[in-house]
Amino acid sequence: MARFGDSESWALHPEGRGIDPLAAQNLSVLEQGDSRLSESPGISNRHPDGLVLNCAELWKPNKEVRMTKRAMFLMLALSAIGVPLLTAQSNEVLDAVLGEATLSYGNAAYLVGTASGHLPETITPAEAAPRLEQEGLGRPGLGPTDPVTLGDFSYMLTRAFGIHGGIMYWVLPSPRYATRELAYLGIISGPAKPGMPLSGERALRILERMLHRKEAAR
Amino acid sequence: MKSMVLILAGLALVASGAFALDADYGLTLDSSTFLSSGVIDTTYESEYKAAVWGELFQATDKGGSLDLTAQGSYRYTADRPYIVDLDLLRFTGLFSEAMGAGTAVELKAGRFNFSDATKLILDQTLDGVQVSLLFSGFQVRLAGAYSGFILNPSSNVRISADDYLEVNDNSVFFGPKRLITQAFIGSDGFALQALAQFDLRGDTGGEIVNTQYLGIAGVPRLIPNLYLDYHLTASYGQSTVGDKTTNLISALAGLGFRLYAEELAASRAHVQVTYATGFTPVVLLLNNFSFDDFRPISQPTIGLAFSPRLANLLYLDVGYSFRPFVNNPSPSLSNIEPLVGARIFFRDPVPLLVSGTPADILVNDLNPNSTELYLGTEIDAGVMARIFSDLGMSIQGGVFLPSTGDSAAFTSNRGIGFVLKIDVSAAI
Repeated sequence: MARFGDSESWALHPEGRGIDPLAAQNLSVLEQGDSRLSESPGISNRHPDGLVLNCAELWKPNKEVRMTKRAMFLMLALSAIGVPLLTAQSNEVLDAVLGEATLSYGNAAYLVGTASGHLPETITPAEAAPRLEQEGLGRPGLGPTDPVTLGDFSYMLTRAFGIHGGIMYWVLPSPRYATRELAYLGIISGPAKPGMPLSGERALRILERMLHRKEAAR
Repeated sequence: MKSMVLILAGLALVASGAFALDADYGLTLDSSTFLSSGVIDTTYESEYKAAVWGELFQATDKGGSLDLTAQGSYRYTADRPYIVDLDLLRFTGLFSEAMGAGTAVELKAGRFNFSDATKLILDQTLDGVQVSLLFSGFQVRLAGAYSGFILNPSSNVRISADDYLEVNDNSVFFGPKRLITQAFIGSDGFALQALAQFDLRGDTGGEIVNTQYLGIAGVPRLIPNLYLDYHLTASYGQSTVGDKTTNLISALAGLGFRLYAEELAASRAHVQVTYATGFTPVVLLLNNFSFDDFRPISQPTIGLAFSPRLANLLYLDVGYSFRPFVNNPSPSLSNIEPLVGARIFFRDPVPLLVSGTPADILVNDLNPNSTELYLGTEIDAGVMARIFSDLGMSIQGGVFLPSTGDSAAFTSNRGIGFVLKIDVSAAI
């Protein structure tokens, strides 16, 4: 809670002082499985004030890690009710994405393009990459099977979904500031380094939160 | 030479393959302007700070991670035109399932923030080590730290009279030297904690003060949206001046409620009573024991316009904040947060009840002939806003209305205090 004399509550530095892009990614909030250990005030949903006892986000057993891929797909599909583009995507593509330790550019383009409505759901991942580039939303230079980083995926998402970003993103639109923006908005949870590899499972979780945000804005 | 370069290049390649470190860096700029009047004289202070940070991150098995974060800063104030400081140098290792499924061990080492469960006893950047054993629903934390390498302007460790003498002494480079230890076990609802600090001034100090703290704290949920906020700490200490050692007994307690109603424009409200003991002149065991002022390890900021030491004090703190545009799709609008608050200050009533006179409190213009406990009321209002993801600001104003008059706690020299504080912070 914001308190007087406490200039730390409105802005976040690495140690909770002032603004800092590390805030949403600091201290290993683990996106995979949503196990969390966070000291970043304001991140916690369980306890609105975050760091009440300096341990507000206690270690929670990693139950979701044991979730099967199919169950995860069902969760994603159910969570995206009202977003027919995602629910209509083929199980095969989603299963392929979930199986990727590092998301390929083709699948990333497919996910971003179809979920944002820029590409038809009937398109294949191999076709999606060049089509997204034609729309000015892709990452030129990458082949459909090339791995994408978290920064690449974030940049594609912010452009495809029309996220405006902060001052630095406006001045220098790039994967770096796109990643920070999505971390700030809570669409990326956990470590958010632009250059880090991105698994298919994590990409779907990020996409799910982006779709929720889109739905909430309607 | 050439072979050495090749070896180093090979090692770098191997290392980069084995440890695929992810790096990030950035720059933050902060400005803080503080205007006050009516307390002593009109004052104007500004502080500007530029900080560079960098981070190396390595994800490990089972959701664990290794993280090295550093931040250095340059700070400018009119009193101290150049303060180059290392704000943060922290290694964090998170070892998932280190003690079985559903557990983790977190190791932190270096320079980072240490705090107790209440943040009223300890909340300070220190150099040390902290180990947390994380279980489902509770954690055990052990920490040890040293305060003597923190720059004096950055140190808030103030316990003895010597510590306070050095606050504005530009000839003192580092803050007070103390060894601080901490143990914690518990959860949000209930936690048991112990802290201790040992004065390492040795013979150079006029007064050597060691203190130990044992307490409970918790913020359990009573009903949806409503939390109880309680803490109780007993402190025992030893003050040595020359050959004489006095054992100090003191306490800190707090009780209140916090309301979080996200559905009502993200409304948040709190009401809290905090009590810190003052010196009570009773003779115990040949005057070797004393009920004394509570002495936290680091002094907390209590109010904006009136922030006395956390000792010989009883105060009621109420506050309310909300986000009127919380559902607006624009993050800039949704993050605007007006807030209002008030604090009513009293001296500790126990010394008055025991001896007929209240204990002294270290504030300006205190009326020495007064037995009045009521010190005054502070009223605050402000707006905080995260305008963009990389730009935030806050404007806060406060008024302290002291209790003045012939029999009041303050003499009539003490005027109404006004404070305006403007903060701007940007990230690059």
